[in-house]
Amino acid sequence: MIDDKIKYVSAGFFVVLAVLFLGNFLMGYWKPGPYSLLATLNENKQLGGYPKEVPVNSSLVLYAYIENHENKVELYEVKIYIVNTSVNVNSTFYLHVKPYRKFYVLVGNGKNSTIPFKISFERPGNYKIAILLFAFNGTTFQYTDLYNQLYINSTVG
Amino acid sequence: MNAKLAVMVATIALLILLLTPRVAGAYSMNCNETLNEIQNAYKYIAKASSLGYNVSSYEEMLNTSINYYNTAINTNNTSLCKASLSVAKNVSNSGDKIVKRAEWHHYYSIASKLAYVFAFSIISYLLYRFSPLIFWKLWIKAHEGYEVKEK
Repeated sequence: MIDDKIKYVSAGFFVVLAVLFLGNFLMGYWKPGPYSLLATLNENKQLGGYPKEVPVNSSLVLYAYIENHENKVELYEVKIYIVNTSVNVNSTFYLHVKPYRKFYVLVGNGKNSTIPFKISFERPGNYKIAILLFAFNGTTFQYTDLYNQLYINSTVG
Repeated sequence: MNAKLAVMVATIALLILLLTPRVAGAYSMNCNETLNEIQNAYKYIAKASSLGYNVSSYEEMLNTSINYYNTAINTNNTSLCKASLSVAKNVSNSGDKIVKRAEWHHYYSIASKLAYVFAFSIISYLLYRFSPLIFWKLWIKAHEGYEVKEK
């Protein structure tokens, strides 16, 4: 009967509509992560192309780029270390070395932040710049295991 | 006279010795207090944010405080430390209000979603139940005045 056909067609239409609606509803809850991202940018705010040699006492400008996909606002602490090239940057490295610089930043979920920092070397030699990212867990800044390192040769003149 | 002068010099030296560490400590204590206040303000913002509330204006405010703090610790600038503390305190002081608003927003959001699902179900059922009737009524209205002819 034609009456039954209309029933089936309208029921099918609403089933498809319900599936689309449910999919759209669930997509609102799906978020990537949780993860954070740390990158070091050169003086043009680009990845790569980092200087390999820097004259003693002249300043080098770099940027720490942080992206937050932790699904919540994060308070980050970025610590910059200048160490000997032989020093191994592992998960307990930061406990034994005093940072050269540290700074803090609040990054909203899905947002990013770029923080400039200056570095200068007082003596010539081969150095390693280590940039470590810490996140505030409610009581203390916890190491996120995210770090970047750059090898720089500080030269005379 | 010389003895009196010696006592005076010794007293001044003692005062300087006693006051110097306190003055030096005052800067770091003040700045530690600032970091504690920033962390405190962050806790409110994080809680409100986890409830799905838009906290971007408070984020901006706290980031201003953090920027002052970053400059203060890297340049030993006490006045910036105080400015940072003041901004962070402003955020902390309205912390309870932010969290309450976020909670209200959270419950409202749940209620509106439930109402949406309920309304969708009701409309779906009504359409399923009455659409053939409406369809045929419209069909009859559209074919009003038609004559059936026998061939």
